[in-house]
Amino acid sequence: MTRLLRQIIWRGQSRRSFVFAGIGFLLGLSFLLLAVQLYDRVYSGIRADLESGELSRYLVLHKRIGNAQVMGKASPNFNEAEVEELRGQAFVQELAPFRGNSFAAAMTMEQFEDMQVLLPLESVEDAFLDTIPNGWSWSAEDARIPVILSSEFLNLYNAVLAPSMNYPRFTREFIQQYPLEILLIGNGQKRSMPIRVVGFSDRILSVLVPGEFLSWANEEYGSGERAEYARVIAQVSDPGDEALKRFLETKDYETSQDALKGTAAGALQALLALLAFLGLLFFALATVIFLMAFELTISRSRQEIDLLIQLGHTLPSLTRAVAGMFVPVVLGLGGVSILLLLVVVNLLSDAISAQGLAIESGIWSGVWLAAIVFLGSVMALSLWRIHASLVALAR
Amino acid sequence: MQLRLQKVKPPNIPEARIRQSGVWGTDLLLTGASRVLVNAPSGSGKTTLIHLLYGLRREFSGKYELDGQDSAEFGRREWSEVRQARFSVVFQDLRLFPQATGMENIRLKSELRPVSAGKDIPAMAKRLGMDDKLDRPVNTLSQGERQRIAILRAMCQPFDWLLLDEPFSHLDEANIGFARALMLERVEEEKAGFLLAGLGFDYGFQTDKAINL
Repeated sequence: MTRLLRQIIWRGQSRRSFVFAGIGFLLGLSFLLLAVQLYDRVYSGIRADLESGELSRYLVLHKRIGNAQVMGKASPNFNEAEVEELRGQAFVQELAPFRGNSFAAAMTMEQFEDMQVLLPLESVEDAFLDTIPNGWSWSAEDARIPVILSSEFLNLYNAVLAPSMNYPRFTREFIQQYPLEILLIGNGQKRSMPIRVVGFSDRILSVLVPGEFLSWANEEYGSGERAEYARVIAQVSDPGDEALKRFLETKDYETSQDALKGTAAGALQALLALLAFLGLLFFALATVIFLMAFELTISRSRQEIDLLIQLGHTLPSLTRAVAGMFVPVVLGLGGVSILLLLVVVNLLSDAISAQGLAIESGIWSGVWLAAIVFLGSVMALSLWRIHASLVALAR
Repeated sequence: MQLRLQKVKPPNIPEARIRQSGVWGTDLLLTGASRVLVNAPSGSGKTTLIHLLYGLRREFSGKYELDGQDSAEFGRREWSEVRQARFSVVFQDLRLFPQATGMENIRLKSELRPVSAGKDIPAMAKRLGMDDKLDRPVNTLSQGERQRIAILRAMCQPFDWLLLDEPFSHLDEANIGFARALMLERVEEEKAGFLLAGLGFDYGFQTDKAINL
């Protein structure tokens, strides 16, 4: 019956307005859902990091390795004067060099005799650590060496090294319990010592050991303490500071990707705002066009609707007939929008990862909620307007 | 269903007409399953009466009751219910959808409240000589054919009262006979009454009551 009613009411009606509104609706909904998705998956993560000062206020700096450094004509390391020059810059609040190992170090496991993962050991002042975990100290009497692993290092190990070398994978909890050893080689000596992962760092991409241990090991197995530093860590007031960027360019220094997140966050915020604005604009326009097109349809079919009411048809059944295929079409457009979003998210995922920002795959549950709210609201609003127009006609 | 008009006066009927009327301004009780002929000269409010009974015209003074219920208290839902199952009507101006086919016009009514008669529309159409014209748009049919579509539409629903507003104005004697037989058959099946409003002809219907409008 609804189909027959639909034929009576929609016979001879133009559907052009609905096609235009549908295109606008699809664009608007897609933009809005993309903005919601990116807000959760990218922006909110960066924002939280920024607000907590976990990432962006700390920059790990190193010299850009160019031909001069490769050819040995320029040092790839910071000397004391360069460290002091950096420390003297207005944008630097605190600064400390990383001390590295001057001996070979590799992680081993008793159960995997072939396993040897070279470890770039470093040490930095405790004030620059994300957190200072329990057991973070070492003295010559201690047999076990505490280690803070970079979260990224563990990710890299699990994602690339473990599968390629057939090594076991570790969760954060598991690796903290697992009996690992470190093989120290240098000065004609070789020694295996137990290590324990006591914490993880999101800020510093390295394998950190206490300064006391590094000093001792450099003396025992290496060439002693170096007077140059491959990397320094600086706490800065504003990672987006133009003076900071100019200084780094002039000096040919590079920074960790974390710093970029500050500026990336700003750009992303603007992009999300633009996306959300355009989405809302298209969405609102499409909704208004839908409502007007329905009112026009009812107005043009006034005589038919009036006669249908005279024959005994009820307003709910007429509302369904006027709405016609609107509800399934809107739901279909919602489905297409989600599919488009999946494609865009996958494309963006690679691009964003290349910028050093992590993005989770898949669609955030909030997007589904947003889609339900947007689709539900446009359907409810349209059905309400159709019903209200019919009530006015039926008086 | 019992219909009662108590001193009902529509605003468009002159007072002089009302004074002579056996309907307007009087108390009129139409009990269920009655067969009523309303003799209505032009301008006496014949169509007004049909529309008033069917709930299309609600501007009047007095009281109109359906089974003791005041029609003034009826809302859209109640009138929909009455039009779906209590009244069936053949309008003088037919009120068909001109672009739709005869069959579509009939189905728009019959599928609201299906009855067994509605299942055999082609058979009923055949009795009125319309079986081969059901699939044609109404605006391609003659006035007499349209009138027969309107009659068929009225036959395919349940009803307590069949309201007929000059239903045979474009039919010849033979077709009037076919239509009358079909109507009486359906009235019997539904145990319903009918009210035939015309210019004074009973078209061969046996009526219980004749009223001058």
